[in-house]
Amino acid sequence: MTWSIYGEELSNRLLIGSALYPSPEIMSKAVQASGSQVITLSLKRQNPSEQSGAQIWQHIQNMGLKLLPNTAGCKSADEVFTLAQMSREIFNTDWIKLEVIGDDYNLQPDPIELLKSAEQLIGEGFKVLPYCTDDLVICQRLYDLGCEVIMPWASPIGTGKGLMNPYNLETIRMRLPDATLILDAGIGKPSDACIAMEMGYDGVLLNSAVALADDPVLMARAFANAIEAGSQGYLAGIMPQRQTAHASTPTLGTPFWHEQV
Amino acid sequence: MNILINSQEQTVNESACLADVLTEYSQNKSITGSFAVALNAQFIAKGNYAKTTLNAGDKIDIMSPIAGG
Repeated sequence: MTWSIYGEELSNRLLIGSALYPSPEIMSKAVQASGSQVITLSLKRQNPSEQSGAQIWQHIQNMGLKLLPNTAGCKSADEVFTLAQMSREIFNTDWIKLEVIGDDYNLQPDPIELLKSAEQLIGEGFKVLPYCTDDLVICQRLYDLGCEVIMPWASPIGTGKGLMNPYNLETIRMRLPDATLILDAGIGKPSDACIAMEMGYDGVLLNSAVALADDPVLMARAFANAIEAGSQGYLAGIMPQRQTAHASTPTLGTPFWHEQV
Repeated sequence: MNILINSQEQTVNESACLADVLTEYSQNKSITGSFAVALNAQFIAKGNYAKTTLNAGDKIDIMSPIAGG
């Protein structure tokens, strides 16, 4: 079943990062195996002695995917604004994955700068996909500002700890039924992604879990399957939990030795 | 006059505009492929390079695509 990000129709619900792979070639194969139609990337100062950035960029261009540039490394709305404009010029897209880091230890987004930045970028015509914590009120404020897509974290970037606070994530889903919700950061294993999709999340964005696997290509396929399974499970309607046991085998016609005399 | 390009000090002509400096820098440092520029932390669109004048101490950042999550 298709879904959309800012009007862009997509059939795959996995958004994938382009960093940390053993090589550009493995990155390309893993991204293809994931089936993802959206890839994240970034900008940094050009260093003529480093050619890896140019190689990665060439591979990404060859894949023909929708680009989602991020603002990684920014710590203020002013920095974000400059980098976002540079990204828009280079990548020719209004999409921006908004990252404003407030703490270097756990790379937690700064909620104050995040809101300021989202408002500024939306005012300048960007289509903002904010990376935020699983704080319901921050998510609500971002949505109210005009972010059609909200991307709460599962846990801090690159930790692989999975969903730290399922209650918060479920509450965000329940309270923002019309927002496009993408779980971003902290995913470690395919079942983490599956759980998010079973909650009704619209998509999952991840990078390290695939790139740092022993076999990134196989792991990319595993995530694609897990996300598909979780999405179908949610759409199919998961049965409510019950407090007591209910026999699944009909009791009518049970053998005589079960009958009480 | 002296300016900073990606934190490295460069001596450029007093009357040089941003386009001149980028042309000269690219010849010496091999700027490759796609890039975007900020002057003193403010984005400068490609179309404005030629009309952007520089002052001593200006800081130019030249940014290019890299992998990202």
